[in-house]
Amino acid sequence: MTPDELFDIIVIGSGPGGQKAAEQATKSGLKVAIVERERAVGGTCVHLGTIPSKTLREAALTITTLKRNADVFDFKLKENMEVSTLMRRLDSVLQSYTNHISQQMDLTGGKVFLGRASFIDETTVLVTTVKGKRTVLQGKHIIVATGSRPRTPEEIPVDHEHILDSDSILSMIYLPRSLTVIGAGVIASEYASIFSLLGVKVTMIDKTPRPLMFMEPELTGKFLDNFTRYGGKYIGNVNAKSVEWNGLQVRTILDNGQELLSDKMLVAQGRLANTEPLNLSSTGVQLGSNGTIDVDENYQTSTPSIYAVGDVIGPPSLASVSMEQGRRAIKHIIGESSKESISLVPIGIYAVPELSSVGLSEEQAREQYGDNIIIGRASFDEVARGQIAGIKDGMLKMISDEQGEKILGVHIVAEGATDLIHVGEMAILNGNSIDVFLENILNFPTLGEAYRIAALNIATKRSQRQSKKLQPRIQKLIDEAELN
Amino acid sequence: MPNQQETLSPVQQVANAIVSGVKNGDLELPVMPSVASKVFSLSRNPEADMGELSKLIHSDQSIASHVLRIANSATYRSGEPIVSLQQAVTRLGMKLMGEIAIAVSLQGDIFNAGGFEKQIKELLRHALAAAAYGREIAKKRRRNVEGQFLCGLLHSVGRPICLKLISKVQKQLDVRLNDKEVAQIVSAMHSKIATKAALDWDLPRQLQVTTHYYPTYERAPSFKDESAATYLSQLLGHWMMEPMKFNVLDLSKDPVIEYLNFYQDDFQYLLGRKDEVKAVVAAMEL
Ligand SMILES: Cc1cc2nc3c(=O)[nH]c(=O)nc-3n(C[C@H](O)[C@H](O)[C@H](O)COP(=O)(O)OP(=O)(O)OC[C@H]3O[C@@H](n4cnc5c(N)ncnc54)[C@H](O)[C@@H]3O)c2cc1C
Repeated sequence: MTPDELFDIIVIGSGPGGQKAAEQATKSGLKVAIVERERAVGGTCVHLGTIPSKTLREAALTITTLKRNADVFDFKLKENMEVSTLMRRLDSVLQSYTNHISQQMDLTGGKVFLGRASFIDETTVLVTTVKGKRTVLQGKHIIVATGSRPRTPEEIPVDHEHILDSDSILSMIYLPRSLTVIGAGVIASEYASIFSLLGVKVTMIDKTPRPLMFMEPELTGKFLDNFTRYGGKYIGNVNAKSVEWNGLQVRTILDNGQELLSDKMLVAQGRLANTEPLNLSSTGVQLGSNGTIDVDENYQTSTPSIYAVGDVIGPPSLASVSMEQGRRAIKHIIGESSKESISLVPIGIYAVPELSSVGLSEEQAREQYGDNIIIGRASFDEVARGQIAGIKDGMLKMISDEQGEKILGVHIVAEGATDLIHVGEMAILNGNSIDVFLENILNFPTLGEAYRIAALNIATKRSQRQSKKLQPRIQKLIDEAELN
Repeated sequence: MPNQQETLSPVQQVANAIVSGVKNGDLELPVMPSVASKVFSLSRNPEADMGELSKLIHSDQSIASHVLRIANSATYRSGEPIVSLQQAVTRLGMKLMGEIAIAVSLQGDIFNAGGFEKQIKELLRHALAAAAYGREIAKKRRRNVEGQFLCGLLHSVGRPICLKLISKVQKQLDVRLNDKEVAQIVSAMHSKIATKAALDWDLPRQLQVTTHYYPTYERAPSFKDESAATYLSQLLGHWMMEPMKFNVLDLSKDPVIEYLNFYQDDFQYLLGRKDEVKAVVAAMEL
């Protein structure tokens, strides 16, 4: 088929992965086409995922703060609890974000095609618009960044009315009184905690013993404490045997015989890669067992002209990671190798409270460095800023090697954890010893002080282990920390 | 000199009387007698369940809007506003819902729709088809369907109210308009009436907006997508009821299809849901 237009790079999908790939490619002087099947650019991240869910979260937190301080400010909350009211800021946030992305694309000179892409062969893509107009594009290289969609287990009749998924939950018109959440991953935990903060009776169920199994148990323990304090309930080690809308409520029967009734249900049991309409069979691209696209460390597929980035290649399925993968794929295409493969990925979970981690977990650290690793902890009730801001139930856990020097991992649960984690990330990336937090000045009062307290905790254990007296300066710091 | 009223044509007289009727808040929706009797017998039946009552309330434009209105009145409201029928059913309980539904059913002078019964029945049937299509559209877009169902059901609420007002005014003035004149008044006034009703009845914001803006969805100040989906749902409702009047190719070229980002196959899918929608209408129609 003769192509209508020729490009150096064709990017399919305008989510974070596609966007950053396109940006990097145009910056490198390549002629770029971006194909997007929705009517606006931005992807799941902007329209159905990260940004809308965080907008709802902000509203929930604001309402909670206002409620908490209602007597101080002589303030009364409006009774109006239509979900759209809570998301009122979303339209303007989305508008400015998509405008920004479009401007960015205009500036860099990428050409946007709104339509559905499918492969004709390994360098040719057919774009079909909503009206049925067909355009054939040819590219020397093609980046697949088509993202993912919620997985609907066969046995659960998602109707988007009573039984919802993470796409339809946001257009719910009112807050239900009760909500069953099936799943215990990031999306399930985020929505479960947000809705319970808003006064919804949330029951979360999953086959795992605790939510967010990949996070440190101490952190998820704090998360669960908080969740249950707001009336949430977690039922672990169970599967849903049947789910039905009984005409009035959602009725869930668990495999332990328990029956749950709720106004609504959220199904958050993983995501599926968007590969079907791409006609990948015409390209020789190999798929993984779960339908994701297989790639090597440079994001190149089994067909050399085709790369894939973002959710479509599978976990960790984060906007932050997808962006970096997009950039790196282009760098590989233009022969500019990226420094190192991405080994350090911070995980941010915007549940209430936030959870975040970087580097090794305690279990991984024990496996790699032995049982003598040293762990330092700081509880936010020891941190002045935590007391002031009412963030008392958080904690920071720092893991070091057995010498008490090399930082192996940092794990935080508290409001602000997703920002705070970057301090630890930079320390790990720069190979700093834990002493960097003792020898330098950190602002006071800040939550960042928790790094110092955890580092002091490690330093104390280190010297106890070496049965040495602490250096006088460190002893003084510990005394000071206790005074604070 | 003849007084002004005498010089006006019957159509103008009726139209004027309706304008003042609307101003006075004379906005009652006619209820089909069959609904009234069903609600009555259902709420008297100790064996009947909430699910059945819920189904019944979902089936009628008039009952639906009045239930929302009364459920949100000072007498019944207990906290947050009731913005969906399902929410009303679960929050207010069988007894209260039964009371409200009976009150609504018996409120309007139901046996007296002044010769417009057939038209009103058709309108309600179309509203039900639009509601059922709204549900299909929302499902396809992976959006919550509960609100879209209501938007479809209530989008045309101004028309039956208008017919009822015409019937009342005709009797008062002792005039009789022909079909064309009636249609003229309805098409000129239904939109204003619907908007006023949605505001007077304090219907959820989404309904207030979509009822007013669905024909000009791009101008809606909020709920643009919901307004566009309502526009498409009523269009498909018309097509379902009178397929011979529509050329499917023309239908597929309506700009709303592009606005909602429905590809040709998505649109074909919606057309293919006709039998399911018909079944919903048949099941709910009374
Ligand atoms: C509720 C929720 C909350 C989240 N919160 C966070 C968070 O806090 N932090 C974080 O880092 N991540 C978060 N994520 C994950 C994040 O949204 C995804 O990891 C990210 O969007 C993936 O980017 P992507 O570019 O791979 O794909 P996407 O953002 O999914 O974009 C893919 C794009 O490709 C388009 N497309 C698909 N098929 C075709 C085709 N055939 N032709 C043309 N276009 C096509 C789609 O329309 C879409 O626009 C969240 C996700 C969800 C669902």
